[in-house]
Amino acid sequence: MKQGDEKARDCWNRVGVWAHAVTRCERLQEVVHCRNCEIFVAAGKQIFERALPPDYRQENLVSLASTGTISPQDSVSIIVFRLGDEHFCLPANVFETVKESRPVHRLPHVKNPFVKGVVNIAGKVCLCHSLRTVLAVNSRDHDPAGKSRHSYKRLIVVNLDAGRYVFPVDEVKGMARYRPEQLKSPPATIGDEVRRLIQGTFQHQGERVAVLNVARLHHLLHAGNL
Amino acid sequence: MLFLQFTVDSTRYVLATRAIIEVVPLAPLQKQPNAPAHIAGLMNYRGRSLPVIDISQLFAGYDSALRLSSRIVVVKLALPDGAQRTIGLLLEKATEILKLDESQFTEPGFENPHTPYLDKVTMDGQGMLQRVSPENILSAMDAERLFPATGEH
Repeated sequence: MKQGDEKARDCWNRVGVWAHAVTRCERLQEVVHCRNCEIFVAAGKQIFERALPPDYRQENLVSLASTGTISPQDSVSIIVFRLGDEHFCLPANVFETVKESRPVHRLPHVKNPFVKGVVNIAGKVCLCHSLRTVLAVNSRDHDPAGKSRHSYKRLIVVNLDAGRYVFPVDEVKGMARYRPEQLKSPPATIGDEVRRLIQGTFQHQGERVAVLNVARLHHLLHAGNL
Repeated sequence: MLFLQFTVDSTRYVLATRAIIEVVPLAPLQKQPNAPAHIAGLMNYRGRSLPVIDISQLFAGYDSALRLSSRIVVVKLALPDGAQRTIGLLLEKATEILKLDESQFTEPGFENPHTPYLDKVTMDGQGMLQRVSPENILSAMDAERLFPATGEH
């Protein structure tokens, strides 16, 4: 690696996409952009090979010693998403991927109110369910059509008990953690059917996040025919 | 399955991420006098004392380099008697996660009773990767004496 590095050093500036040279690197034919090239990636990783900055270890002591943050040992990792004004979450390990929003093809004569249609996920046709209907979310997103530049609409692809489901959501907020003892029971105002799907709620960044019960959600969606 | 890649003396190894609780940057370690060289020290991990094992010392007898790519991997180990322990492993170049399939691993065809923690191997374009089973690291170093069963770690 050492010798190759010397030769290749800075090649993205000399013959790569940031070069003004007429003769371009032939690897570009294949990788299109330098950022896809392993030479560029390897060079970027060299940043980790630097010596420790002064006080680096001491600074880490402060963050690692603190017990205030939830330690990964006794907590559950989840991904929070938003539907209208309401926040929900599913365990991070059920997530397969999060995709950009895309058109959902409606299926004619589908009686199941939860089925929105089919959608193309990495070349596979997947059934797309509406969590909004399942969870009886009434509040609309501020931008229902997703036309705005600031639209964060996504499709989440999850594996619930080995069943693959695709749900459109208004925004994926990111990952978080909660301790099981943090959970409070869901508000009494929600209907019994939705209540059964919610394991509990917890406060996260000023929002009440409802933790969905994976097994019951799967059962509900699995049982429903088209 | 996901694996964390690290190197010892430019040989590549992988550790299944299932055992990993957290990968943390280097922090100050409390040296332990008269301890074996591979005991890097004790770390304050979330207010508890976590013994950290320097894998470079254990495998190859040199101290892990103090670089940004050297990290402490907090792993949860299931001991043969059913108890659980949390220890830290100080690894060099722990910067890459690889996706490898269980079926890609084959028997190395060589067994060393002194290194029970070295497991099956797999090949890729850059050479060979050997899997490390952290459970056997402790048994390799006299778990009874160095890591008493007391404490709920």
